[in-house]
Amino acid sequence: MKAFKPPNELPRKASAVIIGAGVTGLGTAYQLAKRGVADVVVVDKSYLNSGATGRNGGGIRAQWTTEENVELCARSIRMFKDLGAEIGHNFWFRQGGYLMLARSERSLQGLQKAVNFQREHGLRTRVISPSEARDVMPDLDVRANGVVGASYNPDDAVLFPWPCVYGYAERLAEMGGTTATFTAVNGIETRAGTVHAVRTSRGTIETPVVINAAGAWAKEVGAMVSVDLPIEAEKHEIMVTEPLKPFFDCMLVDLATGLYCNQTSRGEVVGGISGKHHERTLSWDSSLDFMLEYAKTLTTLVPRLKPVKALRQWAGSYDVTEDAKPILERHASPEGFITAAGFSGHGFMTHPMTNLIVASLVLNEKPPMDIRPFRASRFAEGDLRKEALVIG
Amino acid sequence: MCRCEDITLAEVEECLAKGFDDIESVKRYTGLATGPCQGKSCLALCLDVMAERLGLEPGELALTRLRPPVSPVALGVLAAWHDGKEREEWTGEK
Repeated sequence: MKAFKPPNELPRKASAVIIGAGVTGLGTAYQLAKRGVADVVVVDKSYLNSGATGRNGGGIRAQWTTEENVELCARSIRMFKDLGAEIGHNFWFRQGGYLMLARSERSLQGLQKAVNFQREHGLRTRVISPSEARDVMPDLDVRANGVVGASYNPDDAVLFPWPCVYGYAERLAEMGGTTATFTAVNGIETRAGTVHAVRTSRGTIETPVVINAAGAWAKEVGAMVSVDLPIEAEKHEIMVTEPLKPFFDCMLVDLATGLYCNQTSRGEVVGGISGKHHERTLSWDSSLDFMLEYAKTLTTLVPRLKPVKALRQWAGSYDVTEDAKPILERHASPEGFITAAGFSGHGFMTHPMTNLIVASLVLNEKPPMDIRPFRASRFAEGDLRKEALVIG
Repeated sequence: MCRCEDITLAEVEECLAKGFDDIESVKRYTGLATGPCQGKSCLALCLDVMAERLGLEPGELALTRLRPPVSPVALGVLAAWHDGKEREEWTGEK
């Protein structure tokens, strides 16, 4: 079975065409196939893991400040536990928690508020002391960095994103679906206000449903059917060190600088930092500024990492919206056009639940949670509740 | 083939048999070229094998996107550079 080879000829008809073969697109195709809608075609202009799915840091957390994000992530975490076995690929899901450091009393008060909110919504997050933070993150120099406290949710996790995509593509192929990599979308045809076909570099596919899961390119795809999506591409950088014997389990987050890092299950320390590097561009050029600032901040927080060597840096695109929440919408016009994009840096961690929501939109069923906060019209209505805990 | 990540010829062949035929995909599916040497000792060999299987000349296949740094650099050195110490030492300028 060649699940990963794009077919020379695409199916001429499909129940749905999904644009974007990241976890949003492929995972939704997999969920649809499980529900009996197997003649789905997922198209992508590049290789598997070429976009944000293959470029993110693998962090999975439910520590958020809006109800919808807490629910989306907490339920996704429960799904991740069994997902590897289900799709037949081990992606090293590890619940070592997220440790979020506060370096000022004001920051700690904010964290306490977030923790109270999360506990009301069923999470096990708690505020811990600097010395407890050191128990979670060995060699953390709490004194030199003025750490006054931290929040910690033991159920948050990290994983290795790449195998997820392979699992979805293989299971989809077994059930009769198609993944067409290296296939560009040139246009979307509508008839009488309804989606009719997708024109690609390998031929035209007739379909009543098109799902825009194109991440940083979602705005371009929306424009093909005159749907204006307030989603921008934003460059984020990340880097990885040589592998070390495992010495910490958590995802470390420093709220003051936006630094985050975790140790992957093969030993590398992978992470990034907020700051001046976030240009609104689709460029993936690496910058020396990023590398130096990250290295300086990380080795100040964890001095023991000074002799550890940086191996590789890369960049990717967030698909950002003004309130840092995705658009999950079956649009009124054209009928049959669905958007699942604008994840603002947390698309991977929310994708199991997102996939169920998008599948319900395709099947015209009741979504598994309230999706009003993700409606496309909220921007025009000015009804935005911004997520406050965006990192990286 | 990839000594850093312990990737064998059989694993690369399995990857090709599954339908991948570009080096970026082979890198991601197998982990080849993601270790300390960053592909310096395995990429050319891998391209050679891929070209043979695909009936191409190695030069017809693209390399992976090359990523900084060229050689591994200690985080402490990068941090010192951030502080300007290295720059001053090497250039005489602050």
